[in-house]
Amino acid sequence: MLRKVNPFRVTKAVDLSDEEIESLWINVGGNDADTLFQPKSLVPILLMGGKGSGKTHWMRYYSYPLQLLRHKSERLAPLAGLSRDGYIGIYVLLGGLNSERFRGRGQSGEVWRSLFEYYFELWLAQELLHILLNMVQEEPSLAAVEAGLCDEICALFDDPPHDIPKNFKGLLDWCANAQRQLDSEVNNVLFTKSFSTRIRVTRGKLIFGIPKLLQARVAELQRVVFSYQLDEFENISEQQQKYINSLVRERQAPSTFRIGSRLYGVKTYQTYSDDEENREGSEFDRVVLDHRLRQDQRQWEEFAFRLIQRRLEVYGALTDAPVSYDSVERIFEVPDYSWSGHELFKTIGSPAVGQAPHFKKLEEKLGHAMDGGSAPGLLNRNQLEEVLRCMIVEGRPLLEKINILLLYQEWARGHSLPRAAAAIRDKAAEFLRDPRARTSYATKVQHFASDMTAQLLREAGKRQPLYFGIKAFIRMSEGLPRTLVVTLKNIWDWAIYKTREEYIDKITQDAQAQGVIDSSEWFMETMRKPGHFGTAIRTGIERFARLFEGNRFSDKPTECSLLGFSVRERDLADSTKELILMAEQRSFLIKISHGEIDRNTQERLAKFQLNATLAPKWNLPIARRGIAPFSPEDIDLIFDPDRNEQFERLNRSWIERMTAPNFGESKRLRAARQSGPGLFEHSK
Amino acid sequence: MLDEDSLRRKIRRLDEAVWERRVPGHSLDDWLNSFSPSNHGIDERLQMLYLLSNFLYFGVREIRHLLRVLFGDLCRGPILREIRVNNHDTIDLDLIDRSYAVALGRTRFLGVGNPSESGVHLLYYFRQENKLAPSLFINQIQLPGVTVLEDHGPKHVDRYIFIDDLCATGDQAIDYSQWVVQTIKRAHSKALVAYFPLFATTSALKRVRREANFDRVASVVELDDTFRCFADNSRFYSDVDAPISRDAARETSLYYGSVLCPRHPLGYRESQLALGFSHNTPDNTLPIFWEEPNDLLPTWNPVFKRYSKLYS
Repeated sequence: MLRKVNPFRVTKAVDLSDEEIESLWINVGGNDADTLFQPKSLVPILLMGGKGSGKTHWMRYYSYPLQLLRHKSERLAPLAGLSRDGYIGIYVLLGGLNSERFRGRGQSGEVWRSLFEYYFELWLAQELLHILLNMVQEEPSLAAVEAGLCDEICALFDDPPHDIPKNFKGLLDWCANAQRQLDSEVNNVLFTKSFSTRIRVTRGKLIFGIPKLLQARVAELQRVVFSYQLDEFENISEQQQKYINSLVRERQAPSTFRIGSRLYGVKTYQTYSDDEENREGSEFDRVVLDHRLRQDQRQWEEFAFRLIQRRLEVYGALTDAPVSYDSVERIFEVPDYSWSGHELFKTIGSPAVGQAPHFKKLEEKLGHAMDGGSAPGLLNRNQLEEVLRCMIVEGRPLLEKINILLLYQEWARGHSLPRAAAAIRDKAAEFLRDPRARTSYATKVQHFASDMTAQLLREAGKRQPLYFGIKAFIRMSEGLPRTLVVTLKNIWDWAIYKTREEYIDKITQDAQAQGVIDSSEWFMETMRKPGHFGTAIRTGIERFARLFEGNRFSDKPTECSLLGFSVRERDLADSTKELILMAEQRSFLIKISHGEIDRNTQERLAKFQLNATLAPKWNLPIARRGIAPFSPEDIDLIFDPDRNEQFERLNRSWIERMTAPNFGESKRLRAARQSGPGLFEHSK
Repeated sequence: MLDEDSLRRKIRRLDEAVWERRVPGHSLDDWLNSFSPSNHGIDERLQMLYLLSNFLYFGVREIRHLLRVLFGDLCRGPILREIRVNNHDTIDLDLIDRSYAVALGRTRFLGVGNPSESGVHLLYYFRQENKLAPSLFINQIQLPGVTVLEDHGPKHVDRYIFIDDLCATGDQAIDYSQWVVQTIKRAHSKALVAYFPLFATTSALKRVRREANFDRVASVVELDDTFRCFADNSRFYSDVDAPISRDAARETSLYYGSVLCPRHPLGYRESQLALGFSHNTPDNTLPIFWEEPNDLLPTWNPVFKRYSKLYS
């Protein structure tokens, strides 16, 4: 049972305390976190990931306050701990710089650049001095060299403080004061028109110099790497990124960098070192967190489960201990909507034999088509009723839907419906006798179960989505930990809201359904890009969703569980390529191939799928099977918000291709095919 | 298109953000269970969910804020204007402050009705929010004409301000004024007697101004006819598509209202409001929101409970 607390309440790592960062930490793939982050490596790492992919959690976990927590729990003195770790993490949020202040207001770019560099130098130096100040109280060996270190640090300045501070506190105060003065000048330059600040230190002198001095003076730090962990790289300007890129390029041991950025956050790789560009594999390594988690489904599932397990444990959400996979699975009410279960039949209202809404719909379609001469082989009412009878599998609505799907498929091929219906009835009977046999019918059941279940529910007037249980939520989160946490937060909120009792026995289907819809809407909002590009991306995503929804709920879906599309990317308009890239960077689209050769057309295709978090908004599948090929022209159209009419035409023809009786063919062709029932009756 | 799921989501958000968690999911279900998903072609549940999603709830925070507005706009503002007008439009702040302190000291605030009623209940918040001295608040029995004591009579007081939460029809205010205003005026003919409800319907304000004896009548929030749920110009149904229907909702409200509250099935004197406060739900609100179960509907559950007055 569950207590009425929401263990997923905090969804962003910046809102977690140091203790929570530590206690909620989960290694990816067991214990390879160090392999990924390589805290002792001097090679800078660009840690990229979509919004909510866990970058901040990673960077904070490897920062000094967290190291200190771990040292304390192991009763290690700070220097001994750092010596053991082999690194010291100096974490800063670049968003905290308010970096947009360093531009415009009548000052040249050069002036701003110099000021920013000086400001940044002072800022990082203070972060390091804070750590030293924290350590010196507990470390006599550090205290013994404090005054000498201060002298040497001051010597790093081109224009050192007049009264050289003799301790870290004094040096920290001096730097803080210099920064305050600079803040004041920067904030008021619009009125003062000029700066009186003197830049007192050359770029990199403190950032690289202080670690060198510490390494030379403090024995325990001799093998320690000083890792500047700069988070939210996307929040600074291109020029400022260029400066940090320069630091990365010019870095001096024992200092290095870990830079956290969103997928679209790197504006430049250029440096001020002769305008050279930093290159992956040369100046830095790159890790893309969400790709990494997505690449290995098993690893993501394991990681995600442990994340959930840890949250439940830390916040004491479950009354049972310990929290096992089974106990987490049992939290959620998961209906058995398999073909052999009875819940689906009950959910659609236990209809009388042959009276379910899906039969009514088929009967209507066949009737109209027969009257219009477009139902091959169907000549009279008796035949129609016989066709309907062939579709019946008592108490197994999913198999009835599979039968109807098969009938539509035969219909689309122009085959005689009475004959096809009889064959389908026999195949269904064969399947029921031995469901495990490898028959084409069994394959259809396997492939189309999700789409047909969705259709059954919709036809019965149930607006219930089909996403239940922990596996579904992990799958839907597409390797983004925050998406998973937000989804569970929403589900928990609904469960708490709806439960009368003191404890929650199980999280109901309804709470799960509402929670995933909330997450879907949250995702659409939170990932969106402002401005014209954002509108175009949103339009494209919504149009794809509509096309896929049209397929899922059509008479004869061309693809089963359709959530993706393929296209010859090289033939797309440049603007569309850019939009697709942006949609991918914001995790709306997930690239699932990199230009494989299509077996049928021998062309190089790019394949994408919609992020499954969006699926509930349109009642789409979450486990992708189908990929629909689109022409580059169609994709250009889909991403163009100004071509609404053309898109509506495309959508109509898309649906018509899957809708009986004409299945998108020209009337002439279909009429010619069906000119006389005898023709096809005898042509088989 | 609005459906049950989207309305439930909206209601949950309202519950968390505005309704002070008065309607948790299970209470909503309890209420909804009394309605049918299909009654002669009407999806009563959907219609009622939509109606509920338009319910105007004012929690403690909003009521406290409105009480600040009431004091600022209807009490303090007019006094300051009067001081300036009487002193040749002075901008001498010291003079204004001194005169205002004197004028405020010669003002008394009362709730409408007896001490157990909602008008009186508001006075506590009113005093706190506007940082007023307790001595400015009196009981009816301390009014001139009721008592022979002169503490709050002509020598010390110029204004008597009656505060109320809602004036929906004007009945109560008119009844009350007939006794209380006449009594005050008999003992203190120059006194200004004002009636300031937080909320009032346009029609009730007109009626009270016309039929009651107050010198001044004003409300902070004026509810025009568009706030009546099923009025022709109802704001709740001005821009909705099928299956949401005013007629279907009215039919449902009237049907259950007739069973629950036969004398006033659409609220007291057919006020048709969908309005509630943290301290109570007025009987002018549709009974389907607040009425208790009875023998005819024993399984009924209200969604915004009303604490009725017992008249003995």
